[in-house]
Amino acid sequence: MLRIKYITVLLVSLFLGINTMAQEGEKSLTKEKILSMTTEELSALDLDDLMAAIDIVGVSSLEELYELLLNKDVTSASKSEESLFDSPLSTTVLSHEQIIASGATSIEEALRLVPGVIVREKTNGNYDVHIRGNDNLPAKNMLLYSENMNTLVMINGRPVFNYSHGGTLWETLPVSFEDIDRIEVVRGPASALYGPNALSGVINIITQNITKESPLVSGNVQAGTLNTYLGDVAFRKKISDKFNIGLTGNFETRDREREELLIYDRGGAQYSLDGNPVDPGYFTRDEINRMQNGTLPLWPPYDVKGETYDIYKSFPDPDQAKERMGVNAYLDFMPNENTTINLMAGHQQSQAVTSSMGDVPTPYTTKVAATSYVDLRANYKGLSLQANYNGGTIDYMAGNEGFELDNEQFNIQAEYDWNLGKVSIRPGVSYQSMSYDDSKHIAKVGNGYLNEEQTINIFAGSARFDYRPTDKLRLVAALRAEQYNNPDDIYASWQFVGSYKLNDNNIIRAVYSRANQSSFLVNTYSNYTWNIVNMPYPRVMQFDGNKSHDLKTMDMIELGYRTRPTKNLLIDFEAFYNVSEGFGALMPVYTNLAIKNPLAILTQGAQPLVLPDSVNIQYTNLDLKSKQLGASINIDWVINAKLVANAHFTVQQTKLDNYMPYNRNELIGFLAAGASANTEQTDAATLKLQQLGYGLATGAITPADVPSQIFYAESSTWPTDTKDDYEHKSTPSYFGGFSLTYRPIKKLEIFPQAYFYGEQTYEGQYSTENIAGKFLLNTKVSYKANDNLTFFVNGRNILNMKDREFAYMDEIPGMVLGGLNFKF
Amino acid sequence: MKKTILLLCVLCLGAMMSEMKGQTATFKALFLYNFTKNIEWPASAVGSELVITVLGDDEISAELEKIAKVKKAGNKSIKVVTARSVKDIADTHMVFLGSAKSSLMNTLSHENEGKPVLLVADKGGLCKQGAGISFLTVGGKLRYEICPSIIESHNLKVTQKVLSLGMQVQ
Repeated sequence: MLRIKYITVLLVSLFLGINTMAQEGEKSLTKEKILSMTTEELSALDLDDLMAAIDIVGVSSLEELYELLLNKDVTSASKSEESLFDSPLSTTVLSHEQIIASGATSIEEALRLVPGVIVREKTNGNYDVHIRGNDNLPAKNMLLYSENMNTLVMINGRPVFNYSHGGTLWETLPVSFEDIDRIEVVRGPASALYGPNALSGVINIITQNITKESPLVSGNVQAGTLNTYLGDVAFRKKISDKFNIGLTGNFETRDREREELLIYDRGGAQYSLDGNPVDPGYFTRDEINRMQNGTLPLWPPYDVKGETYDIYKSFPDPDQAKERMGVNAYLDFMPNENTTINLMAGHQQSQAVTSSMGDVPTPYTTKVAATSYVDLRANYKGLSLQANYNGGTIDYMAGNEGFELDNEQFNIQAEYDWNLGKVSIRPGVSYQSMSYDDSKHIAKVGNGYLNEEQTINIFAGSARFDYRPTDKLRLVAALRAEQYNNPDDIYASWQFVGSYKLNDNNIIRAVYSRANQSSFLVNTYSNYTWNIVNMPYPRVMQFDGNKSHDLKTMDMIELGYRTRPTKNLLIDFEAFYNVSEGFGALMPVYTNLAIKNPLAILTQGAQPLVLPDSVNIQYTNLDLKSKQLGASINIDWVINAKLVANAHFTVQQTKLDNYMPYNRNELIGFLAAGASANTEQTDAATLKLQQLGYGLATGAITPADVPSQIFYAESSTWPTDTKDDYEHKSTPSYFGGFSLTYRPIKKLEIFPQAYFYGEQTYEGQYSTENIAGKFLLNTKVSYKANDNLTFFVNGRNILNMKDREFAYMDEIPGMVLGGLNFKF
Repeated sequence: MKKTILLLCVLCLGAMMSEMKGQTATFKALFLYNFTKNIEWPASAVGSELVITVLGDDEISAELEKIAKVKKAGNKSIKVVTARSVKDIADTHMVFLGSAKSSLMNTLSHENEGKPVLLVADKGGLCKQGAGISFLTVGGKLRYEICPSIIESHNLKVTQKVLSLGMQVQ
């Protein structure tokens, strides 16, 4: 590996030494001649000659930079192409060129360039990505609730959302850099345009168009420390005026910085290894396999359809953070001048060691996925149709029965863009069907969350009105209504926007919007019985969904100001206040207690051992309300043709009302205490014990007739001491980044980039983790050897800041990679 | 490591170097002039002057004025008009919509629907919103997208040369 890096550095150095000026000389003479021509002489050129002259002179570097960085277009904010400057919503566009220049090694990492996006690395190459925050709510629960269920990630408008548990499994995205034309990020509720789960915003990954200018073959490869190998390649061809084809492939593999897994304290754990007490900490698979919690094995093996599920099945490659590959095929068909048909299909396979969605002795889990998709987009004049399928198998927690699900997702939508001049109207209908089925992967019914195929259906109608009463004023209203099968209810979302262009260089905007989450399979249909074998109590936990739960909503008010005080400077400011309600979680709603040692009490005079026996956990709505106030600023500054600067900064504060300061175990404890206080039931248990004792004493029964436990009492009453205005610190109070693009000569580009965030506090089910603020510095140095090849050295986290970014997850060191971009 | 960062900062800050002023506005104006020679307006729309209206780009207006002083469109003189809003536009043969006014493309297109007016935009992708031609930069080179069906819908005829040199879109 070191050798590869040294060779790369050597190659870069060699090319740096080449004198690039010779190639410029001949052109500049011709260029000078053209530039010295009078208007009359230039006007005399016919179109062919004019184009040839323009090609020789070229667009000035500055003009090109303005075009690339400051005059971008966006489609996601209004569902039609418009200038980013005019976008009525808080919008950022990351171009392919920006992503490549930044040295980002994944799509998630590239999002660190976007204002308002907090990106924290869990393990090498696996990230948590949140827009503006509101993460880990409700707190004091499973790591599952730290997943971002608030942002809708799409590829060309096709949702790539995980409807099983909620969130985005980033490693399962089939596309990579060479597929991507740009990534559009719209901050703020956008369900009215894109459907459910666009609460904090949308991230729309737009793939490249195939044109005459597209290189036939292009790609990127790089390799570096932690056995990191990344690469993608694209083949694109415009076959005729009517047909384009494309084929892309990508791969990625990375190691963790260690192979041991963290075994954490799940409350009262008494770990031992080979009979010796050990504290929670990092252990190898072999050690975990031999560990005990009290008298019980920590990770006992069991059989599922003839296969052993154990620590080795759960972590087949504990030293590997991520391995994925994807292939994508593109076919464009333009049968006539009014019709375009775009077909995209692909497949991905992935395996990632990242944070767990369930409740096991380690916060890590291995997610394994193999999925395929087909996406068809067709446009005829103003009518657009999109239909897609995504299906496959995802194991959310390898080696844990019940977490492997087959899934099929269908989406179809039709919209019509009706332009009436000052008013444009875009009505639409859509239908989504998401089916998940775990029955093929469980030994028997009851061992899975679903135990059969379950489906969420959503039928929706929408309309968007875009009215420009004057050249400066724009009013937008978007409305959408969704009918769910479960919960059997209709949810409405909306977006009301007003923007006013003070002049060509200043625009102000105001937004009021609402979005809602969809129902998820686990929340709706769970029916899972967990017979606990590695903890002393409770004996069994029953997880149930709730078909009539309320869906989470977010309301937001936002003010924005965008200005271009000079041609080379763009400043974008946004201030937002949002309120989220309708939270829910799998919460303990019932506990019963049992006397666990009746025989010992009766025969040895032992003290009664009263412990929780079974716990019912049901998806339950909470009165929790989140109120977030914040602001972001973004500055793009083309200082000159050789130097470009970008900076973005976000501050936010999140406060909670009706915050219940108890984790799941504490709630179970509260329920148990409530049960103990039920004297009617406890007296009955005591009487039962006395009756058994009498029976033993009289010989009416033998010790074998004494049950192993006796029902003691039950409770389903929650604590009422909730808190208001509780400051929620899962999202850092500030985060941002800055970067410079420096091109000292045309062939050399240096891109230093920093990303930083303040401290945060993760409140989990088992502990509260304080996570320090962090400053990450990356630098990529690229050398463009010729039009076909660019070599680069890529340093990530070059200050080697190892502090963990996400609760319990890895402490990832700095990395150095080398590689090349090519196009022919 | 700190020295490396310092060095990078010094390199970046030392990069303030002069840049040759772009010729893009000149070339766009020359393109517009060339379009007048390669597009045929219906007889009913032809007068003694060929009117080009520029909305939202004073640089292009100035460059067109220079050309209009020394050149004619065929045997017609070129008149350059500067508009401040869509409603100011009337009796014109060609409209150039500056990039800062791109948001008005839909309205402009609707207002001129069926009229013998060539709508030229200064931003790629605007043919989808009704521009007949729109400029864009591809690989550091100035190019234009052209949509024949939109141009035809304005009763204009375009030469094969303009079509073949542009990037045809639908």
